[in-house]
Amino acid sequence: MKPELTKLFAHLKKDYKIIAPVKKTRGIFLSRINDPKKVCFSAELTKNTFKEFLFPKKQTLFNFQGDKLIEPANSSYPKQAIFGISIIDLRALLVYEQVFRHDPYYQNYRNNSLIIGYLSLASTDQTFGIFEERLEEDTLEHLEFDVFALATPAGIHFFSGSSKGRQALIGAGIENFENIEYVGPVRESGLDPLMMANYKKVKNSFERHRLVWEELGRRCLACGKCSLVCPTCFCFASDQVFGQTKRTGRKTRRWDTCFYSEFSRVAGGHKFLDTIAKRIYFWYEHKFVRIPDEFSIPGCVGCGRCIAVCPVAIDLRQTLKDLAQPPKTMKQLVKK
Amino acid sequence: MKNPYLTYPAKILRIQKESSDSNLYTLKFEDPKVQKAFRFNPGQFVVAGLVGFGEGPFDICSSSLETGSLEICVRQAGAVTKRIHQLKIGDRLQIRGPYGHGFPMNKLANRNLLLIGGGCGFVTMRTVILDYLKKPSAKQKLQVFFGVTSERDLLFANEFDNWRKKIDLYLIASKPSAAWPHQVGLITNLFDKVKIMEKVGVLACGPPIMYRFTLERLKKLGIPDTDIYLSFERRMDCAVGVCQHCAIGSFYVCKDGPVFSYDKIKDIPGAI
Ligand SMILES: Cc1cc2nc3c(=O)[nH]c(=O)nc-3n(C[C@H](O)[C@H](O)[C@H](O)COP(=O)(O)OP(=O)(O)OC[C@H]3O[C@@H](n4cnc5c(N)ncnc54)[C@H](O)[C@@H]3O)c2cc1C
Ligand code: SF4
Ligand code: SF4
Ligand code: FES
Repeated sequence: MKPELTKLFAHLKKDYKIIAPVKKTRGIFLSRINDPKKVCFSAELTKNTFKEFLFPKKQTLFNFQGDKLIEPANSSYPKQAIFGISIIDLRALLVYEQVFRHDPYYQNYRNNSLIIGYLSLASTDQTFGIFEERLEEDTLEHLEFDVFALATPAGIHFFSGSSKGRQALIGAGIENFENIEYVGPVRESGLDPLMMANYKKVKNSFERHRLVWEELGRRCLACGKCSLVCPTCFCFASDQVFGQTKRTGRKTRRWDTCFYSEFSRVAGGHKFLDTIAKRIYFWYEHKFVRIPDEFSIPGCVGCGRCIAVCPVAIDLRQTLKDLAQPPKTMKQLVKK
Repeated sequence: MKNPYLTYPAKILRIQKESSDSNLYTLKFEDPKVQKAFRFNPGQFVVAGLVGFGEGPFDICSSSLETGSLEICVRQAGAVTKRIHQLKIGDRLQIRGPYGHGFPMNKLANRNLLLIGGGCGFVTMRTVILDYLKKPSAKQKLQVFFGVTSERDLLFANEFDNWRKKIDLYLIASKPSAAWPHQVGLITNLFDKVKIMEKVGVLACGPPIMYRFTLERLKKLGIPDTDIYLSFERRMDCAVGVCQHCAIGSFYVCKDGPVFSYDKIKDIPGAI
């Protein structure tokens, strides 16, 4: 293992639970580790992402006793150092940082976590051609992280992105690092041109490219796997449940997915997204239109995880290509 | 950091049965500070519910000039609303809000208003009406359309006489009993019977089908899209623009709505 990282892990172990990429039979997963020797440094994209550690599949919003609502104690949020987050996934983290900036639960998880980005210059390009992973001069200043470790042939080069990150590095005896000041998610040169191109393709395309969406609607099983693995998917639903003793219980929230038909159901049974075609469009619309409109950043970071898990091989690269074509008319289709 | 999901207990001061399935609840926050800070605009909503059972969005329907209490009208429609209907005076509801943006009343201050409420959607119109009764304006007249299926669905019927002193109220029912003294048909039939005022701003709340037909009539009258305000219903959870359940295009009904001017949403597929 790289000696500088050994030092860092040894130091962090004192205060933090360490979460890092670990090689398992089905791929590399971000997992809780006790033994830093288990860490996999290949810098390949992990199958799972930071999201389950900062926004758990299910979490308690309030415990209640009678009418009294009690927020979970700060001590119930784990102190965790999450190592090995790629630049692609740091871009997804930006979405979370924007979406949940007023959400005390996310903020509690985030404040108790140390985010350590990682890139190996030796690793191959992992993007699916949707966005680029290349590290450019200004890449890091537009990402939010605490520490970033760049593996170069000459050894690990460290960057700090926050005072928490600086403290961790200094505490570990690593004095040679560069401070990066976060200047916001959008580059000085303006909005990401690729994001804008995709935005135009998807926006209000449900009628225009009806055949593309209907075809996807026919193929998609609405299993929701793509949204489960997607590092920018975050929608949720909340529930209230009674506990064992009288008048106690919890208000919880859990991951939801817009692929499920219940997602848009209102009292009386009406579902606004009543076909799979409408739901898969809603999913694309969120990533390629709604998030860019809200936050000026891409809602899809091009990690390709959704493509890898889809049981019916739906591939968003193909969808974006289809949407770039002039819409097919019925006539053309019949001829074919 | 303020917790946007925290609810505040409010005591039920009064319950008035309005229709076969709807009750009007007058509520007052237990904490006087919360009650004092609670201000809203016509068209905004709260999330109301019961600890352990759940919560849902409800339009506020009292006058926005009334600061000592607030009112919501709840139709029994499922699990939580059934439970709310079992509550008695003195029981408590948990409330958070107000949420969203209501009707742009300042912008409309010198305009005549046409209010169109279909069924349960009429609830939110009551705030506009009560505000007008409290502070009538020489520069503004109100025409109000209220469409229901039958007389059993009418809301606030015991207030109509009082309303009629200052506003024009038109009732229409599609399947009333033989005794129904008002118009029979769909709410859009009222456009054949009533001369709509000049320079009118339109506020509407009802089901999508009502919007489709109403918009046709409004277009025929030459009313610009920017003068038509529609209140939308969607599934909600967070009510603060995060959970995605209520999204329409790039907007959230909870945060950017529930009221949208027609020009803002008309190009979004599936909005109406
Ligand atoms: C902006 C807005 C204003 C509303 N104003 C009123 C009103 O003034 N009076 C009234 O009676 N009803 C109103 N509704 C509808 C009301 O919110 C639902 O009827 C109610 O949430 C149903 O809850 P339930 O548990 O009884 O039904 P169930 O079908 O058992 O619903 C379970 C849960 O689903 C969610 N849900 C169900 N229907 C809706 C819905 N239509 N909108 C949002 N979430 C829903 C709620 O979280 C609810 O707790 C409004 C809805 C919206 C979106
Ligand atoms: S490629 Fe797929 S999984 Fe990855 S960010 Fe985009 S939509 Fe999500
Ligand atoms: S993984 Fe594929 S089949 Fe499943 S919901 Fe996503 S697009 Fe549809
Ligand atoms: S209710 Fe959650 S985004 Fe509107």
